[in-house]
Formats: sequence, C-alpha cells, structure tokens
Amino acid sequence: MGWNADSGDEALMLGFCSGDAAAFEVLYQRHKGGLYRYFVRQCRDGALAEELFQDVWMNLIRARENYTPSAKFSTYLYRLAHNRLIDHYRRHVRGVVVSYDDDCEGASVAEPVAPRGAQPEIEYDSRQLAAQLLTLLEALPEPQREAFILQHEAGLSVEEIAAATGVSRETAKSRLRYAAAKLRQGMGEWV
Amino acid sequence: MSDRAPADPGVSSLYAALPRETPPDHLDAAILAAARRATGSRPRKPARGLPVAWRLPFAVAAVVVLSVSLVTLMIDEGDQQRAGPHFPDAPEPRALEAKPQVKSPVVAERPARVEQKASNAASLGERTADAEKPKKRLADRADVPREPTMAPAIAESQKAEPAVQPSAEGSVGRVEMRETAPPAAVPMAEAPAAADRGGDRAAMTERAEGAARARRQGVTAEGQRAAVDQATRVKRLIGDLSEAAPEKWLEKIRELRRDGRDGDADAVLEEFRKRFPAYNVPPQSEK
Repeated sequence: MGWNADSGDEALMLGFCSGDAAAFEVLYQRHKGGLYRYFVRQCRDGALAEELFQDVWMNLIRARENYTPSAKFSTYLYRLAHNRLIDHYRRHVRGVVVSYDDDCEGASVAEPVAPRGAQPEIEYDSRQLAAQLLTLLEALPEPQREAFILQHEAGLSVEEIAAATGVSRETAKSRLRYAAAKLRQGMGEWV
Repeated sequence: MSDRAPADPGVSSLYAALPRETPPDHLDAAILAAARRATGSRPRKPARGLPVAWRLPFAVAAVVVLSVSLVTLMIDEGDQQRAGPHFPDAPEPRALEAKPQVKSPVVAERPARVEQKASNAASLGERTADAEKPKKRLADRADVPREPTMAPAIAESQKAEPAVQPSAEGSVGRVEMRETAPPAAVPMAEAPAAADRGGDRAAMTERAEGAARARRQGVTAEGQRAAVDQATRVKRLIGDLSEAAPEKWLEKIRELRRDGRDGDADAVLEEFRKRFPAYNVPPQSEK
C-alpha cells in the first residue's frame, strides 16, 4: 500500500502492525521531531534525550501487537514518552518525581529572568529571544513544562495532554495556564 | 467547556520561532532498521548485484564461454558418431539411392528431435555396452515386435525395396530413414539386405540396441547418469519446497505426476513422508 502525507496516524500504525515497514517510516518521519524536542526540552541533556527517544520508538515497535486505535496515535506515543521519562526520573532523579506528584498550583512561579530587552534601545534578535524563552522554559516545573511542550510540539489538546500524562483534565488545563502565565511574565514586553 | 488549551498567542509564536532540533541520522537509521527487522522487510536499496559497468563484459564473456562449450560438445559428439561400430557387411549408402521410399503417414509426422534423442541415447549406450555379438542382438530384436509397428504390406515392400534414401534434407530425411524401416521389423534372414542400407543405419541400429540393452540392464553409465540427473532434480525440488507447507508439497507431487515425472514424484513423496509423517497423503499424490 502506498502511504503518503494524507494517511492518518492510526492507519499508518495499523499498517505497521500488519507488517508494513513503509507505514512506520511515514509515521516516524511525522513524529520524530516533536518527540525528540519533547525529550530535549525536558531532559536538557542531548545524550539522555537521544537514549529516551530511541527507547520510546523501540517500545512502540515491540508493543505493536498490542496497539489498538482507541485514542489518537500521538496521545499514545506521548503517553509512552511520558512513562519512559517518569521511569527515568524514578531511577535516577528522585527529586523530580516529587515535583511531578505535587499539585502544580502549589508550585512556585519561576523567578523570571530579567529580560535584557527591558531597555528598549537594545535590539534583540530572534536568537536572543529564543535563548530567553528556553531559559524560562527550563525554569518551569516539570509538569508545567511537559504540558506546554505537549501542547506546542505534539499539538495535543487539553484532553489529550491529560490522557498522555495520566492526570485529570482540570489538572492538565491548570498546568498549561500556569506555564503560559510564567512564560509571558518572563518574556515581559516581548510577547 | 473548550477543549483547546489556554495558549498564549505571544508565547506560542515565540516558541514556534525556536530552533527545531531533530534526532541525529544514526538514530533514525537504527530505529528504522529495528522496524524493518520487526516486520521482516528489507531496506529499500538501489539495485544490487554487479555494477552497471560490469554487466556488459560479463554478459559477453558468458555468451562466449557457452558458445565455445556448445561447439566443442557438438564436435566431440560428431567424432563419436563417426567412430561408431559398423557391421562388416554394411554396404555403401550409394547402393540405396534412387530407391522409392515407403513411409507410414503417422511416422512421417514425428518431429526430428525424436531421432536426435534416440541417436544421443544410442551413442551413450554404445559407449558402455560391451561389444558382444551384434548378430545375436539382431536375432533377439527380430523376435520382439517394436514400435513403431508397420503394416504388413509396408513391411513387405520394404523387404523388397529398402526404404532408406539418403536425404539431402537433413534431419527430416533421417527421421524417415529410421522410422520407416526399423531394424526390429526385419527378420534375421533378411538382415544382410537390411544391413545394406548403409553404415549410418547400422551404427544407429547398434546404438539404439545398446541403449535398449542398457535400459534393460539398468547398470550402464547412461543409467547412472540418469540416476544422478534425477537425484539432482529431486534435490533441487526438495530445496525449493523445504520451507513450504505440506499442501504445497502435495501440489508439486501432483504436478510432477501430471507431467509424467513419476520417478521425481516418488522421490519427493518419500522426502515428504519423512518430513510430515503424520500427514495424510491423498491418493492422487500417491500414484
């Protein structure tokens, strides 16, 4: 069967499940960037991000027999990614797990980095803005950062973010709201 | 309740301007290779095999080698046929010229390659059969009616006027020569007259007889060669079927039987029984 950009994720995954490697290739090309950046932004460690990224795809390949298109494929994929990340944190970075378990509303707002653009006479180019945004993003609590990344990289809705991260819809929505507020506050006049 | 996330357009546009990192190529290759392994498919590669630049020289070399081999083989066979045994009383072919030819219409329709096959088989049989008493063999043959049979009238006319006519038309003439006057139909008393038809005729008769004897005895080089050929064929068949389901085996066996290759079919069936001892073989595959 010829797969193309119009083929749905679920159809591609089912095609792969029935033994079509070409379907997987299309699926992989479609989602590899977002998933990779999800790990890069979350881990802030390139090597670790690559390892986790590879693990998720390998898990997907191994577990293809059990795949059923009950939800959006991207939700399923990021659910795998989320679980792998939590698993990593549990093994290596115990403190972060506590952060995940905390209610996000109780988390302190990250200290905004003073934008150098506070002086209007200084021109900021896009690279500086990007660096500023990344700094702010890193300062966010893990759950809020994850929710923000899932929204912007995977294009997930609140419901889907909730499903992928295993929390209620309200919690997911709250995390997103807090993340956006902190980033806006940190970027000051640039947004 | 909106399902859309409370996204901030300003923040979102800033985030969209961030560099879009992608996984390194080696990671892509490893993951895609794992997926292909899992599905048992192979990566798409350009056509494998010889580089294009080498294909023509190889093809030319192969054609030359095959042609030389074929010509050499034909020359060898021609030498062997010329060196075949002759009856001492075999006359010159000239003596047979201008004789009317009587032939059976059925026989005349047979293709020339029948003769060629028989000639080759006779040549092989001749090489291996011991050089014993050709006349006795003729006597044996005269006792046994052989195919193709001739109508008595035709046989009578052939006794009086041997039908062999050295033909300038190549193989067709040879077919007529052999098929219209088989030596088996000539009584022993008239064997000298029949032998007068020429050295080629006698040589062919001798070879055919040798092949027949070899077949009867079953111990000649031809027999051995045939056995080896069959073993090779069967081995190839079994190799092709080694991964196949039992139904495929049975289908192949039936196909062999349809083609008249009962020997091969029996051998494949024997191997099938070894591999699938519990499988019930349908009768049409048995025989």
